[in-house]
Amino acid sequence: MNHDATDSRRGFLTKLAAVACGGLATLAPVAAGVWAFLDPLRRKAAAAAFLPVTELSAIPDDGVPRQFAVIADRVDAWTGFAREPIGAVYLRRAKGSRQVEALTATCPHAGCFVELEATRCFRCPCHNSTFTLDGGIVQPSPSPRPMDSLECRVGENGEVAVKWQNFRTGIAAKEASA
Amino acid sequence: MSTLRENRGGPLKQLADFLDDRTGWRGLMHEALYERVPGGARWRYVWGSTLVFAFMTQVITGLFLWASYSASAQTAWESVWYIQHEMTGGWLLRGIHHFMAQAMVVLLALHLLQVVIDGAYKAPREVNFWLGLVLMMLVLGMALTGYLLPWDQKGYWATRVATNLAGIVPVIGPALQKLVVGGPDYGHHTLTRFFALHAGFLPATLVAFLVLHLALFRKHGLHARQPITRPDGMFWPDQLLKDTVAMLAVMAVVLGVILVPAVRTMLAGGQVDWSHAGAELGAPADPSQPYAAARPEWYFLFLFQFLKVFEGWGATGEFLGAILVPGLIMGVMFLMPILGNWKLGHRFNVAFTLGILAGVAVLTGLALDEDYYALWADKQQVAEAAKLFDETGGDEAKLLAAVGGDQAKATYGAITDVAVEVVLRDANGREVAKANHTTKRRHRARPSRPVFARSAALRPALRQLPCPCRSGGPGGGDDPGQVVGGESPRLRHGRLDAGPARSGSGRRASLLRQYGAQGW
Repeated sequence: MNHDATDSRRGFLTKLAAVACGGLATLAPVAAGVWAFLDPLRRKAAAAAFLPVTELSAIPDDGVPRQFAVIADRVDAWTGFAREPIGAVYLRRAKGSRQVEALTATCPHAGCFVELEATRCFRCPCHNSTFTLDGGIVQPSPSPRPMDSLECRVGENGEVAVKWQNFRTGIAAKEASA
Repeated sequence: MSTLRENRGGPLKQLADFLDDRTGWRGLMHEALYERVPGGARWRYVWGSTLVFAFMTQVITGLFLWASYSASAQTAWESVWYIQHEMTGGWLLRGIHHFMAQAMVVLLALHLLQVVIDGAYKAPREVNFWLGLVLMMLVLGMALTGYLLPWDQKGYWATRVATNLAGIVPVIGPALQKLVVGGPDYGHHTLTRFFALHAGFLPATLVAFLVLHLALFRKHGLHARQPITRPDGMFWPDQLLKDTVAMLAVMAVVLGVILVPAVRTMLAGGQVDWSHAGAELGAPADPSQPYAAARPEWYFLFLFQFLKVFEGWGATGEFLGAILVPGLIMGVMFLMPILGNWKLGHRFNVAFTLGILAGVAVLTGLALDEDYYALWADKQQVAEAAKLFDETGGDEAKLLAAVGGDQAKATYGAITDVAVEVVLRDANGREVAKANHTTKRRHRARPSRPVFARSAALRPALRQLPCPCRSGGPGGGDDPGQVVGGESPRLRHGRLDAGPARSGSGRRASLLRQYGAQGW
């Protein structure tokens, strides 16, 4: 084997070793960073739970939805918050009824806050999805599904609790966020 | 205008040719990598590269830490706690950032030492030497500002001291202090400012100076150690291989510091609590709690100790010790390239640098030593016990014989180095847990890293506490007063566990410590 070939092979091995050492050394901080960065993937949404929202007497029995804030204790990563607003619901009930219908105020299209328009319909200010007062979809609409209803319970003393949860937006199926 | 090459060779080569024709990357790579190394590659030239590597590591880990850090007095400690205890791999990420920062200071000293000893600061490289000194101050500035960011007792009190010292600078001192602290008090604004300095201003300035430093390095070429006995080598791959091996070694040391305690626990058959591996997180900053362990990081300890030289001099002493003398030393270092022109200049420079480093070592040692003895009430007793222990090799029977059968004395000899009884009490003073912690390694007893902080025996008890425990205890003069947080990350609105804890609701457990299970 001639001198040049040995030299060039040794040169190649040196280069390979240099790249390997440098790569390996840099791998540690990058790997540690990516490992920690992916941590949110492990986090799960809070399980749906009934949260007291209001009293039955606060919902006039005229079939028109009223907006209520959902208040709960919340742990946001490193801070715990006591009794903080975590969302909003629309509640309505028919004349003389103790049955309450609940709709989440989150638009199923892209998650904006759906507004009640002059007690006639719901309209989302972002992309004009329109819904009837019972949450039904008014076509044509960018929203893939009607407004999301929530389970609602009325206690003996008239306290109204809603099973609060968030749903995935933009898809036809009503699917709780994980 | 150059003509495009004909497409020849494999697809990879074709792609490379295509890009080269349009970007000229081969020329750039050649320019970047093919630097002549007079006299061939040497290990003594690796320090600059390892510093660049250390800085890169800090940028990478720092950006990822940034993604989970929240700079405010209400959330800084909490978010760091979250990174350390809740996030997967957070302990490793923080550990690398924390210990690489320390490695960087060591590498800085080595780089400076090599440059001075080799005379690499002499003409025509004076300006590059000055740029290097500026880089050094920027790195030390980042170390100083980073220390505060976890907003734990250690960082909080150390920063109070550092900024108060800044306040004694003549004329501009008080204004300077207010600017750095972000007002008259320590709080949100201190953190946001320190964070902006640590992650923005200082690294950006450092990059700018690093570019100049490297540009001048390339302009003048490597300063070869004389005499040159071997043929010239090339930076790529000869020197770069040595550089990358050194980088790997630096990273291995950093990972070693983080992992070795855990590995030892594993080998001993214990269960590793990873959230306690790596960098320490003290109790949250609390201006109402005494904290005698307000010490800077170890590489600034010499400055801390130096101030004690001027004890009793009042404000003049502070000015001399914290500002004037360090300033003069930096001044001499800046003058080194000029001093080097004199006949004995180079020797003076080398002697001066070595002298300063020796002084730093002595002062650091003194600081550690004093803190060690401060922990144990009676210096004499410790010395006596240590002597006894050494003489008998720790053998209990021999020990007993050596002290004429006096059991009490024998025990005290046997426990030579450290024997600490840790008693954990709730706010009503009821004993929650007790643990004996012994170690044979005396210097682990540095106040900023108290022996009990990682006591495995205590950990189960800590885990049962409802809240992360905070510093507490009697707060005596020598009280290291801190403990690594407990297990619960659930913090209440606003500040963690602050109000009720002080009003004694019993939610907070305070840590009481008694020196010397056997009465000393």
